[in-house]
Amino acid sequence: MKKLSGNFRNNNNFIKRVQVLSVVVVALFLVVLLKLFQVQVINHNFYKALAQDQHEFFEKIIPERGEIFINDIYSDKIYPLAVNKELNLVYAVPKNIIDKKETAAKLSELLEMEREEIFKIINKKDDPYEVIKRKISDEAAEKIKNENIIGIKTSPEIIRYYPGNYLAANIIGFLGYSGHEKVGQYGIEGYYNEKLRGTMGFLELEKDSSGKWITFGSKSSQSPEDGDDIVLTIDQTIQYISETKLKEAVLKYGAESGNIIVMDPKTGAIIAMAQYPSFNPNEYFKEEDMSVFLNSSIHNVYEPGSIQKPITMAIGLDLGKVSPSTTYFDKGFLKIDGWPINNSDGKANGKQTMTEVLEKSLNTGAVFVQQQVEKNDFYNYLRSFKLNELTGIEIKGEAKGSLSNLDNKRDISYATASYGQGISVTPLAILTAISVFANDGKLMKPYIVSEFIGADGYSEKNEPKIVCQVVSPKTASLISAMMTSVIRNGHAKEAGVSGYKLAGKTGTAQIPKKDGKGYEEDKTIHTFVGFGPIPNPKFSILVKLDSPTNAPYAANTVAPVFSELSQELVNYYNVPASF
Amino acid sequence: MTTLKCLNKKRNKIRRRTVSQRAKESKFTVSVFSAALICVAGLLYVFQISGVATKGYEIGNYEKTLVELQKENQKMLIEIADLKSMNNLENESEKLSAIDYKDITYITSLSSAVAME
Repeated sequence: MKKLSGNFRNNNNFIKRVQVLSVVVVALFLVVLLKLFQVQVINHNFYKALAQDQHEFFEKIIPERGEIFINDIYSDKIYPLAVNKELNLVYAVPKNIIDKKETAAKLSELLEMEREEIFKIINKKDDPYEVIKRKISDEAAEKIKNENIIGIKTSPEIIRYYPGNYLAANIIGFLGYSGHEKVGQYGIEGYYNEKLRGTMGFLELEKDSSGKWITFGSKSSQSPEDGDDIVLTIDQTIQYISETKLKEAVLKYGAESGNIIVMDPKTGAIIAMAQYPSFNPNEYFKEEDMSVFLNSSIHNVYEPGSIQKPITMAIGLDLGKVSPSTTYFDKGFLKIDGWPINNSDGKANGKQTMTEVLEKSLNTGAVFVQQQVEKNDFYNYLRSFKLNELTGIEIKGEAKGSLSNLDNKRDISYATASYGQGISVTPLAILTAISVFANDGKLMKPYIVSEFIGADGYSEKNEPKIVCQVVSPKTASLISAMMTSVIRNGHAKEAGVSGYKLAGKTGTAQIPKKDGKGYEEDKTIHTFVGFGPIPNPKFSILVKLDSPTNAPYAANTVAPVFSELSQELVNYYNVPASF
Repeated sequence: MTTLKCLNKKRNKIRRRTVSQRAKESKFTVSVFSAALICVAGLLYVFQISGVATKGYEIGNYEKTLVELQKENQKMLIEIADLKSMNNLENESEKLSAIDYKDITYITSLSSAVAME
């Protein structure tokens, strides 16, 4: 019995221990199960992402940015204005550099940089990457590689390069940065950033633990689409001549700035668009005044002054209210709504024809024409010349002019508008309007992009567009003849070119005060607009100088520039003299 | 008769032995022949694959060369653009002592005939 009960007790203890052990095991099992549930169900997405990061490889493939070209009509080839250039950058892995001072000394000679500057960059503990210098030539990069400096490496980089430097800078813009992303800014680079950038591609595949691609693993890819190349309507030679002449004029006449625009009046194609001061897009980061990046030919609005008079005259002629030989009596001044209006020469010229109004640039004559026309008609004609609308030119930053002063319907507002004060226009808008008279009365849409060329070679050409028939061909012809008389017989003789008939008009406009009413005392804007050679105009030109100090009137400043440029153009286009 | 029968039997046995031997031999021959064919086919396959691999390697090299040449070409185009820049042309024309033109005379050609000498 004792033996039996002893055995029984032992068995009981054993069973109890087994039971306890079972409970412990089950409990442990439950803990593991719960943990598994937590990992595989609750945190499923987290661990899935972690695993994907380890064995999945994803890389964006950057497309090549499209390039920008301009024309050279004689070589029939295109000249690159903006290209992608492969250079090198030198970078350091500071944590691997043993002797930083010696490394800085070696690099200082090779990179032509200050030793202290290099030392400052590389003297960082545990830093895996620091760029020391960019845009290194292949030869310099090769020298650095051959030196085998520990912790110093080179890698290729693609940069945007502008071989023309300053040439057409305000047309192209530049490729800058927005955060870490390269973005076209201003000009064509900004306007067509999406087209030039192309479409990113990607490569997605599985990699093994050593980082190698698993051949039979899943993979997907999309080839990048390179950006479109853009060919401009700009002519390299005429652009260069315009920029040179403009810079000379700005410096000679002590102006603050200036513009020259050359356009084909028959198509609206922009042949040249110069601006001074300008900048070098290869070194845009050195400019302190960002306003230099804006294209003032399309961005700056101003009161055009007397170059408005041919438009006023055309309105009167087109409505049949006046003819070139219509006369009026010029007393030298007028008073409208209590405001005095004088001629610029202060003279009373007596009986004058409409042609003489343009030849002598008589403010009273312009008011006379405006007063023959209903105000609504006058306003509608100004609108049909698109003076207060965007031209749609493909450059970033275009502003539009304003005719809002005419909304008040006051006589004085319409009178001043007739000679180009109280309204505002951009240089491109007023040149486009004047070009109507060189094109049988048709207003053309100005454009600067001639062609897009896709990466696959597909070409998309831009065709000239007629906006509207503003005045009749007869009116255009009459105004053309009257403007030719301005150069031959009027006070714009300095704009003439011997042997050629050119049409033009000067404008010396007052500048409104920035703070307060009225105009600046001693500051004016000088403009000359014209076209030729008559009777078959190949070019229309605007020359503008802001606040020249060495001469009072446009006839002495911008008119000679127009003459020089026209001479270059007739020679360039091989146009023989007509008389 | 007995001898003949024996002889025939013997002959038949020999024949049977020969036929079965032949059968065995022919089986063996077929096996050897098949094995040889397979080996040859395998070798041919290996040669072909290695040829393709070699060609692939050559193509890869040519592609690398193509990329290098394209890069070189692009560099040269940029160099040409630098040389053809208007600033550079103007500097070169000054070095060559080129003079500005003054008056241009246009000549109207009356006929298309051109003298040979």
